[in-house]
Amino acid sequence: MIIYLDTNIILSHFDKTDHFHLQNKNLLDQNDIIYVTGFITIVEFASILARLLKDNQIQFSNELNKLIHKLPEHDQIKTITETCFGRLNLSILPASGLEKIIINKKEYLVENSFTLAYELGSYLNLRTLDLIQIASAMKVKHFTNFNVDYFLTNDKNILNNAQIIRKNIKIIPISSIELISILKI
Amino acid sequence: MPTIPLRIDDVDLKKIDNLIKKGRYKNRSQAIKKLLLDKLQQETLPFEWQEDSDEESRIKIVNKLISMENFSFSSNSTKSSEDLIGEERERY
Repeated sequence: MIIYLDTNIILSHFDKTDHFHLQNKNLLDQNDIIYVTGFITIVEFASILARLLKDNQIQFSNELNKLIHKLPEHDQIKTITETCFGRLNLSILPASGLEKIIINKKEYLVENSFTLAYELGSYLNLRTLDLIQIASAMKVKHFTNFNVDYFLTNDKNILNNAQIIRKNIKIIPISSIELISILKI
Repeated sequence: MPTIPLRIDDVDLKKIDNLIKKGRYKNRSQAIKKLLLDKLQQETLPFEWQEDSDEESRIKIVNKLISMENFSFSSNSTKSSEDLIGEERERY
């Protein structure tokens, strides 16, 4: 089973105050599931950490503080982000290539997550970063020859559009609670 | 223009031939040249502001943190992870 992880699942896995923390920890500890995500998830994760850190809304253990306090703030964010992704049994999808698009007779080479997201945007009612995440999940097939079985997220906007996403691109958005119930864990 | 001999395995060559069949490239030579140049274009030099960091020490810290038995943090925000990320997405 291949599952694409949305950013909120990874944040919840490490934030012990999150209401889905235990469920997501339990899910991500399953060794028989292949978890994947796109680099956009790392960007979003780091961006949220930066915002929480700036607003003084995140607390680290003394042990962690001791190791990172001498680093400049932007390096602290990168360090925690890379630690979080490095601790998970998770593959990060590499860039798969550039697509040529032509606008007003000019050729542009664009990373193909963006061209896919651009095409999806016209028929999925989603926000820009949702579209890029869904496009990343679609690219899994390019690397594994298999579609992702589920797009794991607790984002209400994506889950509310689950049917239309499933119908158009054959990827099933699912919440942590629903996945736990399907896997019977 | 110099010529470079190249060894390529059957699986990769098949992928290239499929791209030629799809009309993406005229022939193997054009495909390999184009793919190589595209890849070269992606190899960017670091920006000036990236050069200040002591990347080696930072990576040592990351490795130490990855091997720690427990690792988590606590957010003081009243918002859930999906709301925090959702808010971020609303901004774009």
